[in-house]
Amino acid sequence: MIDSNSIWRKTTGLDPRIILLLIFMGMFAITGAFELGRDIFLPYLGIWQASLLTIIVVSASAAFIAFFPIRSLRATDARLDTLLTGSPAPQFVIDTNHRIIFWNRALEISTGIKASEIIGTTDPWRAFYPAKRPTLADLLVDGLVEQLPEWYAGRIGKSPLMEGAYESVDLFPTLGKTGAWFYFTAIPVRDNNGVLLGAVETAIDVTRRKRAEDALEANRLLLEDSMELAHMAYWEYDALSRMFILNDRFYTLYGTTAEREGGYRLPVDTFIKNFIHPEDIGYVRAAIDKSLASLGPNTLSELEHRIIRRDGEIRYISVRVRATRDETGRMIRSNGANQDVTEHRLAEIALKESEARFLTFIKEAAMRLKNPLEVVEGNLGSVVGDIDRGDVVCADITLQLRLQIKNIEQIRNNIIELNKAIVDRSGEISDASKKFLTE
Amino acid sequence: MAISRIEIKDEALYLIMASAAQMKEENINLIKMLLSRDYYVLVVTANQPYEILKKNYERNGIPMEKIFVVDTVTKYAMGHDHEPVPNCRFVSNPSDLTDLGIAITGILSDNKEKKISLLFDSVNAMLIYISSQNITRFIHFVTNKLRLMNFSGIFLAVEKGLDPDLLIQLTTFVDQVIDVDAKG
Repeated sequence: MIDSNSIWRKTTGLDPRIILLLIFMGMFAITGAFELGRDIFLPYLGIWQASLLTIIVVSASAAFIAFFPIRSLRATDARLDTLLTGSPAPQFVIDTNHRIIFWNRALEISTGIKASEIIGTTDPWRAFYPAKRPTLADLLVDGLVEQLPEWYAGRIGKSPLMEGAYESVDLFPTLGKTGAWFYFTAIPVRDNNGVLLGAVETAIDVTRRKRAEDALEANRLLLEDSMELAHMAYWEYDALSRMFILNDRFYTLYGTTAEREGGYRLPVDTFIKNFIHPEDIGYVRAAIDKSLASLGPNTLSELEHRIIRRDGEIRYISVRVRATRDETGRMIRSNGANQDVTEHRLAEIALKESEARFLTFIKEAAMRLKNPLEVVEGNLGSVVGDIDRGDVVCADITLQLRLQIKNIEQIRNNIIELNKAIVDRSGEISDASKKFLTE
Repeated sequence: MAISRIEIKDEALYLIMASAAQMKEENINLIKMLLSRDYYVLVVTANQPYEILKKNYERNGIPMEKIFVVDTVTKYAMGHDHEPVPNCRFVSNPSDLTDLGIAITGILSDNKEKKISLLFDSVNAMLIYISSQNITRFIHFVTNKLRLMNFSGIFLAVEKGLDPDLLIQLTTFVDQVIDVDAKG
């Protein structure tokens, strides 16, 4: 806490009020002293010697009375100067006339403006802005709190620490090569009676932190976008409490909300009971138990299982888990990312089914072409054999040949059916070709 | 394995695999073997018309008295009804499995007291007219019927012409698979 009285005395030279007091005191003291000196010294000395001696005594006394307390106060000021000057936080102080009465070393370094050249001026803005404008301290000295949003739109707020203080983080484009971010806070300074004496403003260069935060935020947004695109959500598992620590994205993936589930921490058993497909519960439990039981360095594991979302929809989830273990190899926590791979999995299943159907179709087609041809071939061979042997009964041969004609008709129909199926599977056959194949 | 060496058990079902060239010959051999063991034989033919079958059997000295026939191809080939023949039922079309099932069931039901073995000739010939899926269903139906009525049955097939998956399914319906081309 800054001693407001000391700040106020930090004007150059003596306080005008003290000077006035000293003048009045001096006048009274000199008048009285001269009368007293004349009474004391005149019987022994001449008038001039008595006057000279009186002047010396009065002056010495007055000087002692006047300067003794000031020296004491100056010692306090000196300590305060040292404290403020030595503070690593760049600071300046203005009085009620907006004159700068303090400008510390840290501010000199961060702004390049020497205290000696700016103290006494009303230009603290020079440290931060390219053109004249009020600083936060100026606005607080003038009590223009209502104008704060105008000068610091959306970036100003009350300090949670000190009553009457305000703080903001802002970009100063003209500072440094690519601008600089400053966290600054200002507070009005009052004496013990509540009289406004001035204001202190602290400005800390947070450019590196802000850029790191911006980069972190950019990465977070990128991660969020990536997760959104990839239908992913992350989670954490606290091995000590056997609780999953989830988030809104995770709950969205599972078709629910934190409100519905009673918060972001969910016991393993509850999670399994509420979301894992009953046929996959054993598999998932075994994977979790295996991960918990295994010792060794940090591990990465993957598994895939089905979930039942809160809306009843069954989805396929691919889980990637990284376990963090202590020096004994025991898991202390794990982090994971769950990806909804339903479309991919269903496409795979559909493809397998399609391939299986196609294979079945091909085999069926082969059987229904190859077999009949063999049968027809065998039957015609039999007819030829009968003729060769001279065992010819016209009606029998006619019947057998008629049957083979029927069989060949059927085979032709089977070929057309096969072609139709092929055409149905392919979109790149011309209409003329389709007609040829299917008629 | 030679047909004559096959030990046909009562009420048992067999799938006999033979080459296409041997199919007719095996048909004759099986009939002879069954008749020699006092079986009545119900021949379900999807390949040879009744008249041709009869002449073949007679040429090979097989009497038709103990043979029943369900002929699926004569009406189909001729395009009109065949004159009625004792011990033979003509089905209009090989793909008419309902009619075929009724014909088989009818003959079996009419001869419950006899020792009958069904000879199905052949799975491959049926593939001209119906899908393997329907053949599987139909053979399942026939084997169930035979088991319920305590009859034996033999299904002829050309192994090389069948999809292995279909073959596996067929083997589950029978008690034994016999490959007559195999040595031993």
